Amino acid sequence: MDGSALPGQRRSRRRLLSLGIVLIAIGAGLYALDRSPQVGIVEPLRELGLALTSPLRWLAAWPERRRQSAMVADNQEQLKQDYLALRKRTLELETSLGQLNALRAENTRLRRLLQATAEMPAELQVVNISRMQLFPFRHRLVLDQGRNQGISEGTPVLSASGVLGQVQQVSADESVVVLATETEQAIPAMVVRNAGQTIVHGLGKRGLYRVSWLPQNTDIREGDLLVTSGLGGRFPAGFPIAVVASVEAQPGERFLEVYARPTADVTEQPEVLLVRTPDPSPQE
Amino acid sequence: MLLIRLLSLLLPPLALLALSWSASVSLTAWALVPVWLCVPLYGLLLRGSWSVAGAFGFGLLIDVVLYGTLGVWALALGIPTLALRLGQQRSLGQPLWIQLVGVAAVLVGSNVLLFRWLDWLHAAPLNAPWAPVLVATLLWAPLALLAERPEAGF
Repeated sequence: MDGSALPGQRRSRRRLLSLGIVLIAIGAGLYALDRSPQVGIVEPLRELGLALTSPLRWLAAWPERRRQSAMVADNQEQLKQDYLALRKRTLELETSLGQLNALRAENTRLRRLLQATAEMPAELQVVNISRMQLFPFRHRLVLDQGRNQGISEGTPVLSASGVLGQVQQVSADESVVVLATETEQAIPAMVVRNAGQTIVHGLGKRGLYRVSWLPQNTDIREGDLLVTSGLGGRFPAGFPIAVVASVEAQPGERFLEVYARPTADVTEQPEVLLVRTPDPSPQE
Repeated sequence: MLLIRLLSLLLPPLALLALSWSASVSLTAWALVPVWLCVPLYGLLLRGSWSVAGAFGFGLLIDVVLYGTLGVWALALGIPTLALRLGQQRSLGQPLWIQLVGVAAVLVGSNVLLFRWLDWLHAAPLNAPWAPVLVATLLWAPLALLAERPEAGF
């Protein structure tokens, strides 16, 4: 402290320092509580903040809404053509679906014979992406539906071409999806070619996964498709996750160094699919 | 002076609006420039206690809007504002380049401490883009020149 400072200045400096210490303690406390999954007392604060900033977020989304509605108005002819193409496509898919239903019934019968785990019935819910937060290390989507629309934490999220991630936070009318490419995210996976089991980890880089714990003699190659194995019960089995991009065997290491590229691109569509299963909690 | 006071009142909501708009498209590092700019602005123009409380509260709002971990942005804006405010009397008597070095040190230190180190403990380091910090540091100079009597505050 400056020795020549006036008593009033010293007092104000001390007051400032005390306030700073209190605020730092509050900030650190909030950080610790929010990081602890067992404690949910910060959620009301977050919801209050979201409610307070909702006019601002509505205002911020206004130009994008205007742009989209203008696009719809300008493209009537294009929309008509798209509609006809989609009707044709629906007809083709319905025809294939008949065959798939027969195969599914046969698959279930065979699984019962093998006493294998039954496939979880899955219902898909289409939800719009309202915001993307694609920072390095932090890959999140904010969806425009939440608890009021039946979304719950842990719900798997897909795009048309594969797994994207899972719902991490849910508020009344919004939910946050953490993408599988973010660090600390992992999905139990299976190599389609030989049914080998593995785990796909996020690296914090868009467009890249690490495939872990594969011994040096594992049969895995570039181009192999990895799909969800269904182990753990979070993600239903059979959805594409990634294609193996590189396989390296380092001398002296016990495991292979395998990287894979996600099949799904979060920027390809303005909406995602939520997989709603009867019980999304892990089945041990 | 009137212009800078008006700016200091308008910048926080404008920064939040820019951030929300950018997040609805695809959040980029540049969207954080106005946010970091609020630190020197708060440090220069608001009265002592208000500057720190304002920066902390604004940071908390950003944590909420970005669905981030609560406290990260609040601390990231609150601590450097406190440091700037505490060192303000001394630094304003110094040449501008010394002020810039001081501001840069505070902002860079905050960026490293809170975004790299603290979250690294949880194996999930947050992105800490440097460009917004650099821009905010450089903008300290015109802000400091415009604010003729910053000690008067509001």
